Amino acid sequence: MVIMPEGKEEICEGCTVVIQKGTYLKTCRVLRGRTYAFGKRGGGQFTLNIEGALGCLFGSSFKMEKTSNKLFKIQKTEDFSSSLDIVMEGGEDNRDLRDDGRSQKLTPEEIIQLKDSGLTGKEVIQTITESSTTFKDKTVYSQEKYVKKKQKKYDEIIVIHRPSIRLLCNMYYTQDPLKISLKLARNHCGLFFSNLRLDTLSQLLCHVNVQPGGCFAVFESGTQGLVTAAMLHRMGTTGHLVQIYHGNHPQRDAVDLMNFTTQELEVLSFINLTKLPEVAQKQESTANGTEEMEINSKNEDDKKGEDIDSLTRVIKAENSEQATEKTSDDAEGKKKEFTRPRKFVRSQVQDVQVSSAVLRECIEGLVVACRQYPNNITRDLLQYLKPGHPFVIFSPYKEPLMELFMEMKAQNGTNLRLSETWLRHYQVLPQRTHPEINMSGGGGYLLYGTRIMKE
Amino acid sequence: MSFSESKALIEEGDTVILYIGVSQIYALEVKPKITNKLGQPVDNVFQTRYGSLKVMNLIGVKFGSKVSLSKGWAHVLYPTPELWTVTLPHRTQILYTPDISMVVTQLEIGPGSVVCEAGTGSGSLSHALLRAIGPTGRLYTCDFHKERVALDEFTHHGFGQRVTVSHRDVYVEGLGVENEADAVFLDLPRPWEALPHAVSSIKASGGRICSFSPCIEQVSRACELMASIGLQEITTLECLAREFQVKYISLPVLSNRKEAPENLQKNVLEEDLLESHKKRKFEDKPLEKSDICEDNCQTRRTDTEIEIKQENPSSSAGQQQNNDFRFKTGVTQLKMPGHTGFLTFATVPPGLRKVTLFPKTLSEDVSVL
Repeated sequence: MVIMPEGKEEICEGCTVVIQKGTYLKTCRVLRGRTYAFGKRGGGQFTLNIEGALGCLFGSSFKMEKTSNKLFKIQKTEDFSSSLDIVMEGGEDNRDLRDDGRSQKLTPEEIIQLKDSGLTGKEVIQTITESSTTFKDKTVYSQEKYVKKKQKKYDEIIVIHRPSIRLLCNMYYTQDPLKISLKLARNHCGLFFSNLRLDTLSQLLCHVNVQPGGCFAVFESGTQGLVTAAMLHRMGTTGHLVQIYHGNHPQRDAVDLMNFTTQELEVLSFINLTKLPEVAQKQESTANGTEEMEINSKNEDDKKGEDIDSLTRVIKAENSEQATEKTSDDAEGKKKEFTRPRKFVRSQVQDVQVSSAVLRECIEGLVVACRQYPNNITRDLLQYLKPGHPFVIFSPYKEPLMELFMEMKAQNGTNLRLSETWLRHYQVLPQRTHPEINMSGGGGYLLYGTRIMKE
Repeated sequence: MSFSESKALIEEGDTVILYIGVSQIYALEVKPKITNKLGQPVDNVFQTRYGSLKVMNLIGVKFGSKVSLSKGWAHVLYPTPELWTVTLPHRTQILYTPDISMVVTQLEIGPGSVVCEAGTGSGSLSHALLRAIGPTGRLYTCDFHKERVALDEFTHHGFGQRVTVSHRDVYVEGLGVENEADAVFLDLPRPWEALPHAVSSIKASGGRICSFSPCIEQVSRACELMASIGLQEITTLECLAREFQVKYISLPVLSNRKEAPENLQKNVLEEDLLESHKKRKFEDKPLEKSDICEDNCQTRRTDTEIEIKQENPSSSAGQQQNNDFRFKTGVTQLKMPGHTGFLTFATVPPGLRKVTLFPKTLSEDVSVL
């Protein structure tokens, strides 16, 4: 496993980063000798060598420097998106401006030549504005908008971020999920179908009360493992998170992007939907041994905790005896001196054992976020949730949640709420503040409440 | 007790959440006596629409179980910051879960994080921050109101080890933290006066800042300052949650064919019965609006059935009769929150030169708030 350096603040080899250019985000693993394609196919595409980021702090800005045609290396810089002083005195309004497509005197080919000739982005933009006949007549606001637009295209500043849930969620929600999953997927079944917007995900995390030291379970599909990654991030190195999954592979794309340490990954275990254990009965049969306990008294709560801990300790000891690290199959397939970190901290059999132990002793919060019909899955998983504790069900659609609402109201849920959120961004500029012209049409629905004892 | 642990049975000193109905949720402290309005200790008996509850009877009860009230029942739930937010005693206007959850995610707060909050207010957001930072993190929260910081609520709820509460005027004294915080949250009338302090409390390798403001003028001024001192990714947004009440609705289907006189009579009869039925319902037992609708819908029957069943409203199973179109829907509230505040987030990049003096005057002419 990649051991993050003490500070955890520096970009090191093997870690994942989120590269931001303008509003475009892309995840990459920083490896020496590797380059990454950026931008849309065709003229706009270029290749980046991001070795220049090694040793720099997350959040640093870099200038792209051309090394050959379409290939750039990066250099740390202190300039953040170069503030341009191109804006000059402008006109009053646009009554005399004609949009006939002929105000730019440079041809597209000449502009491309300018770009390739080694001028800085700032100089390119300056030249473009000088060759525009209408620029000086635009209002100053219009000039600023024009320059910002050119900056988006010709600026060579990129920012390298530490992967975080907010960046990943925005990336998945706004960008083409196919592109992302093809680049990173070890399994191709994790396309982002669901409309899980950041505000909905945030509320889900709060309502399920996920926190360090607790025991939680999540069933997700169609969300790239983002919910699991988010819950794991909120838990740190203590507690247990069980991901119940359907199909051949657990959902873990986003988990693999978050640079979790081995200790953090040990909190997570996986179990297939078909392998779910029986819930511990109140009257224990002594034949079953130490794993099944009574749920009622506090002393035995402690003892249960110990049992899961001792089980995980045994598993850790077994695993550390295996000296060789698994090298997982690499979709990129290049020669590498650097060893891939282990994705799974225990074997599948051990995962099932740990997951079963956690579920049998009952969890404190349950999440279901899937693209299949959530109702029967929720019904099956609710038995593992401690009464008096919360559950959250996400669906891109309202109707299944309405069915579930009625069912739970009658049986085993209280304080039931079905909600959706409205999210709007604002452009805030002097004299030009207003909500953004486009906004998200929908972020999915949440059904949340608390489990109660059946009568 | 601790919000951050889980136990099966209620003990003395615990805070429990009593759920009676959609708008009847209460936080109760399980102690034998409470002080009444006159400052005198009285027996802790909680009065509700469905009768009273001797709070000490909750001891030994399992969380999630049903408890009896003298004229009904309720459920006891384990406390969480979200349930606390909707039941806490308001000392100020508070933040609710849609905003709180966005703040925690956007500030990238996780176990071990060091967070600064100004001001504490009623502690609604504070509880969510305390949960998120875990036992290894630290929350520095402050308020200029002496009484608000004197409470031991955080300790009572098991968060005492993670929090440092201070009484200070942030504009003048700063946040009391230098070069240490991962994230700063500001809910102040003049956030631009606190921003330089916020930036200097962020650690050298960078962090995140949030400013919550109800008014657009405050947002405008704060954003302009943020841009001028070199903050990145400045984003302003607002989010509003909309709740649905899930109900069965029965709509009468009209026909454009002439009704036979007997049928007309029948329709009128049904309406009358329905009206008197409703009235009776109101008088006997207070019901939530949703219950009334459901029961009424379920009692639409042929006239003969109504005559027989008019004294027995709950026996029907709800079917499609008399050309009613019955369906399940999520009904929106009559009134919903239209605005709480604007949330502005920004990144402090690593190595940002800290501003100790206020930058030159802003371009916009904004009246002093």
